[in-house]
Amino acid sequence: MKQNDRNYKNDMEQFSQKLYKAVNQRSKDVVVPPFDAVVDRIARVDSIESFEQFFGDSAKLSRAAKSRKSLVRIFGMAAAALAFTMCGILVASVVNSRLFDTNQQSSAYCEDSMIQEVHSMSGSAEDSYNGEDTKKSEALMEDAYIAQDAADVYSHDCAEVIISGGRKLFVPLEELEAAIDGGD
Amino acid sequence: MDQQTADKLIISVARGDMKALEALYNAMYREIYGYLLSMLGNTHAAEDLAQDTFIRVYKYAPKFIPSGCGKSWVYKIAGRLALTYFRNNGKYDMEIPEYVPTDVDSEEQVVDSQVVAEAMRKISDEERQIISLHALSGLTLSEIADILNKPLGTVKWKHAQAIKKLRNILRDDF
Repeated sequence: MKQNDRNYKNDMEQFSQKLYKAVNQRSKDVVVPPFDAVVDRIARVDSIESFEQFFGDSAKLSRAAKSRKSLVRIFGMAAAALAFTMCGILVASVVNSRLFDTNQQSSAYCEDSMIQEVHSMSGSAEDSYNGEDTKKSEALMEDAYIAQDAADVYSHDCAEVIISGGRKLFVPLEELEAAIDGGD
Repeated sequence: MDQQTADKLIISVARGDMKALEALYNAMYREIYGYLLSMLGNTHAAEDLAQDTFIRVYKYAPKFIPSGCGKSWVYKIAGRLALTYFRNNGKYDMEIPEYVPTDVDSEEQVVDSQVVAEAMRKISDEERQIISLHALSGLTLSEIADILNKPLGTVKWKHAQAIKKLRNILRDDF
């Protein structure tokens, strides 16, 4: 067994020697290019490196520009987000104010219509009085008085007035008084 | 060329001695070319990278720390260049360069060389590298382990496997 091992080892060693000789044989025939070619390439590499050194600053600048660009992008995004928020707030406030205006206009319209009605009521009373239609005038005035008596004061200058037909009106007291006075 | 001689030459190159670089080039070009050819499988790429290796030696010689491993250092540079080449260009099919025998070569040597080149295609890349490094440069398996950045045990095992495989392939022809 040991003899077999030794034989195997010898066989492998002989084979290795032959193998290495064959591998070396091929490399021996490789033509070595002239060293001048390497010198030329070194000179070229040197010139390229000096070129890179020369333009190194611009390369750094380019990197700085890149970082600036990313900073600008971040600030741009922040500004866009801020602008969007501001727009949202603006839109909300405009909508709100428009709604508020509508309410205002609506209440103003209501108020105007009430005043007109009181005016027309007092005007009718006046017309009836001038036309000596005292019955009608008295009836209207009576309504107005009833309205005044029935007035449920909501604020110092506004009253809920029930006029003829059972309709309710919110009338500023001043207007109501003027209407009543005008009726007189 | 032994490791210590390579050390001295690289130190001289670091001082700008182009004669030392030329001496290193003439002594190691064939080995480096053979090593690169075993890795790349392409003669043109091996020629280019072999020259690039010595350009790198010139460039990085000032950073070399002499510790009796100058030859291994040059091989490591060549190995890294080959890996970069693989990354950028992919891998070629192994090509067997045409063997032009010299007058002193016997017919038997020519045949052996061609047969071995064919057989070397059939083993793995790593096994081929180990055989090439061992045969061409006379580096020890320990030095090869250092160049390939592999444990010594792995390199020894792969070397033995490669020899066995080649023995089986070449049993009839060699």
